[in-house]
Amino acid sequence: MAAETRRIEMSSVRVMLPTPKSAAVQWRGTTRTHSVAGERVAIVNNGWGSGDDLVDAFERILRDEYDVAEVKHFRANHERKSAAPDDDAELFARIADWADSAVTMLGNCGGCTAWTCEASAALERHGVASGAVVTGLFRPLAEFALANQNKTPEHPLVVLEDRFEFATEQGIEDSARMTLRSLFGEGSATSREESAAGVAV
Amino acid sequence: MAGSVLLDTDELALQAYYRERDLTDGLPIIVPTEERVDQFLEASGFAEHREREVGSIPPLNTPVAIEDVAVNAVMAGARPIDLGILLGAIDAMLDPLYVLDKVQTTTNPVAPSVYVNGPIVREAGLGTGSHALGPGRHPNGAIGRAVRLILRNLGGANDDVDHASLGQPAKYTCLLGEAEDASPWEPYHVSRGYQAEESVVTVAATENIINVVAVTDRHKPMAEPFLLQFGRLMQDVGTNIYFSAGSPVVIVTPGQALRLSEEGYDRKRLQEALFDRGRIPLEHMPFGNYALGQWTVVDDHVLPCPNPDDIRIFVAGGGESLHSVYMQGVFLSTAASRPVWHPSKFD
Repeated sequence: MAAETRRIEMSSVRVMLPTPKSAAVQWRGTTRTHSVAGERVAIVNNGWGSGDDLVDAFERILRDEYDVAEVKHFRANHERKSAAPDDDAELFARIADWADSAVTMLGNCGGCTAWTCEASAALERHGVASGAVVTGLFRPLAEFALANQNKTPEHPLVVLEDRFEFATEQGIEDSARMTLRSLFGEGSATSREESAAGVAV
Repeated sequence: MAGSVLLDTDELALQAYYRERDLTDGLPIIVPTEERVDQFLEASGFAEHREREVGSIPPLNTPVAIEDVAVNAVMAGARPIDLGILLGAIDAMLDPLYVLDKVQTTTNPVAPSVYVNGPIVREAGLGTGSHALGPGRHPNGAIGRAVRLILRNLGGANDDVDHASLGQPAKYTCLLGEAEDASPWEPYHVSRGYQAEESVVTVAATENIINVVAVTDRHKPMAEPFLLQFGRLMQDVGTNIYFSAGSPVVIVTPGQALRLSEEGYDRKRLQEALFDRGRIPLEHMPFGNYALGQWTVVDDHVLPCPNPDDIRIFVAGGGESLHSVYMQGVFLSTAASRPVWHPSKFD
């Protein structure tokens, strides 16, 4: 019986709990670091307006410092026929056909976070090494969604600072580097130093 | 009698037990004692099916049994006859096009709005007339409240997961029966392909509930002011509906429905007229709309939804010809209908 095992005794009145038999799973996180050298990397973007600068930073740093074969930006609301679930599924399959790995973004609202986690987990199921990127306010939801809705409690998750839309250019740059370091390890140190020094690479 | 006294004595502690564990909507509940739940299931006819799985409600996404639904229904103050409506509502919300995972987690204040058709409306005494959306003596409030408790407790949309910036009162309860007997048009569920004798529950995702007074008088036609004002509402670009997607819902009061009918409007013609008047001139969207949305442009106008048939029209409310209601949708959530469950489903 679904709820019987969770009945509790209180002052001789037996009451029942209104939650399912299976308790919520906790997100555990991952220690995986996936090298993207020589790979095709997809930036999967749900279209969140404030995320464009972050996409640009991802693309530039991946090309300059991670020795990737190719980077491609998939802006979901331009790439798919509609936001309907079937069209999302088709988009994820199409990205997976092209990409070896992916950065999936941006969880900066409730529905966006659910979508970002769903997309990242779907890509992983297609064999693409993917990580979800969300902002701090939505971390609890992202962890819950990855662990429960998507059944991926060890899926990579990167959390950016709160109030992302007010971030400075340096903040965007730092966020991009932190994200890529978390998902794909350190980039090429030489290239990074040259870039910082203004040397063409 | 001793049992009744004991319950009264412990009532505040029992209420606190559920409230402190975030298992309520913040209002007092009917404490779901084992005895109450057993009696509820027995009277509903679903007792022998209490272990059957209903589905997995996102984002918790773990199997839910009929018994779990019954516990929440008891807490909400629903009656045994209401259980089949709730099971049908869950079934409908799990339609992939309803995108319940986004409805459950968004910062938008979206609430499920529930519409019931068929014989169950009369059998269960659902409110269809004045104050059908509440409050009142009818059971709409308790059934709608049970929907919210189910989404929180069985779907995981508690305060940490449901990110609604402000929320809205409709998230406590939002349910009505269609006033089929007072409507000049075929019942809504018949217009969607069901038989009149079937009992059907429909769910939509509602961001705002906006009252409309079609300004006219009894000597002048109703249609033009009605279409003008509803058309303008459907063009509202300050919402995060995904234009050209989803299901705008219009609840027409019986008095206005009769006048529109006398002026030659059936449901289909009204849908087509609203679809035409709800198209948004591109110049009215200088900033676009919600970034994640997509829309279809035809002749420099954004379509309000995919097709006229996607505008869902119900008849409910008082008999006067004054107030109708626009239930503004949100992102791409599409309304879904399912039969009210009956124990014979498992025969």
